[in-house]
Amino acid sequence: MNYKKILTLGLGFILMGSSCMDCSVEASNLDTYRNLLMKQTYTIRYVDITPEVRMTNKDKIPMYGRNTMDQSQSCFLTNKQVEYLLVADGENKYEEMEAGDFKQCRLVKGDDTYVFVKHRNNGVEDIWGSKKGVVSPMKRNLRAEAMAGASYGGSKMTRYLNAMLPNENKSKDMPVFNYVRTGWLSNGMNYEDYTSTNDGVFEAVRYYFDGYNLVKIAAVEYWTNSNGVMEGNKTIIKINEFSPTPDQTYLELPKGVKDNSKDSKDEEKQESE
Amino acid sequence: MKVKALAIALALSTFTVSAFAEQPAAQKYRDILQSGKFYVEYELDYATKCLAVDGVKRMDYTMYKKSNSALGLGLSLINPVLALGALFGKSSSKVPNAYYDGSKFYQFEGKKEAVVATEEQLSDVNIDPSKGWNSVKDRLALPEELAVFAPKDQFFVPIHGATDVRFVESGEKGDGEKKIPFDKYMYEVKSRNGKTLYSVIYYMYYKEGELKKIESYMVEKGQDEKFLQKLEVKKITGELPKNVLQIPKGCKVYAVGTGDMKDLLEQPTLVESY
Repeated sequence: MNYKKILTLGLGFILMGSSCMDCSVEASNLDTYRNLLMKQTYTIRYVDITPEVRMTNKDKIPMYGRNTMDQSQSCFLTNKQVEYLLVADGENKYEEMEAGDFKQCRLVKGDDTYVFVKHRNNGVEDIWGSKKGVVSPMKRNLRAEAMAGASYGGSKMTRYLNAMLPNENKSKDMPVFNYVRTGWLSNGMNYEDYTSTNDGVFEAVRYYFDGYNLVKIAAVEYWTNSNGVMEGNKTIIKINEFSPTPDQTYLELPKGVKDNSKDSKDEEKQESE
Repeated sequence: MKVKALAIALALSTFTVSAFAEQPAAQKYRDILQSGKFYVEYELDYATKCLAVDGVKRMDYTMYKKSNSALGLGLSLINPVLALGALFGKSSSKVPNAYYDGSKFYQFEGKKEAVVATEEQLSDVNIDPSKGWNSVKDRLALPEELAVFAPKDQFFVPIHGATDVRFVESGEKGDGEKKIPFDKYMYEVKSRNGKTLYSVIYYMYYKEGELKKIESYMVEKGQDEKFLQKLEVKKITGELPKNVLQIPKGCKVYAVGTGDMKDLLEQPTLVESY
């Protein structure tokens, strides 16, 4: 038996095996996570192993604004992983992106959004909003949420968590992903695959489970550029926690931080009296 | 949010709606904004903006009400049209923001300095992405509330999946002598499968026959109207203020950096002086 025959036979067994395994996975492991995202109650901690691709002028900002925590300037830690924390409980949500000594934070409380930075300096954490220790609320960007989906920290995680949500109610600015298969790996993990071919970009995403727990998301994108050359991009996200219990301490402004809109509201009240 | 939605619903319940036609002035605004020569001045939450247009030339002025880096960062998340420049500072004087001379785009950093880029360069991957070139066309476009009267405005791009804006009805808000007439317009944004994702409603309020204020609301299926933004109209005219389309005297214009050695050394090339 020559080498090619062995290889063909081997592949055949693997394919047979994987198709049988498909049948053995009855309920989707992603269902649990899908429900948590739709209910908007969760605590998620993840690490983007593959840093964001540098933003360029080709990345147009839609008229309704951006929805994710991505920065317009290229990340100063381009070769280091970025850690994220997401906490949501209904209308309230906290997103945090940690790179080096800085944490970029966004807290949504009802209709208001607070954007601030936590800076660790010699073991002490300072908070900077409109100035040191003071934050000002801005209006929540409802249209960006409707057009780009809920934000989950960075743009990649936002893309691949939205990918698992039902396709109806997705705007024309959002890619639509379709279920492909479920299977098992030799290391004991199981997975679910989804693909998308929207707007000339082929995309495949795999959700990895250790038992029932989502532990990793890996994805690839391929497209042909204007010169006819194929380009691609890969994403690996390690999920450290994805729990149904929102950590409520993050859903309030940090202790010692002043919301300066309350002063102006009090002044308005006094003036009207 | 529920309380606010309820408050809006209650406020709207004081509206009296009739099947009247649009306010007569609506056609006047259509004529002005589609004429190719106009000047508009309006106020948003964070800034006052002016747009002057004469043929293909157009200049945008922005006066920010507040100034700080967190505001700039936050605005970039909610409104790219306002984001750039919030970092430059609060301003009460008329400061040019962006200019299009028919072939080239200019962005100003105060009255004394500007950077110029061609249409092709706008999508050059080597231009610093934090300089706001990818929103320069948005800043030179009519705001969407006024684009209702000129949907084919040169740089206005409707939201992906949006239907044409249509007039819905006229009505009056308030009681007695305080009655304010308004026109209601709306459009829908369709999802990928063709269903309505949400609608946007504009209430255009008139006073003595002139458009004064436009309020935008968003309505998702089965939900109340949610307030988006208020635009106070200061001026809409076919007459341009003097020198409004001129680059300020003393302004030095530099070529946009495209990643060459001079760009890396931050030594921009001076290309025009006024």
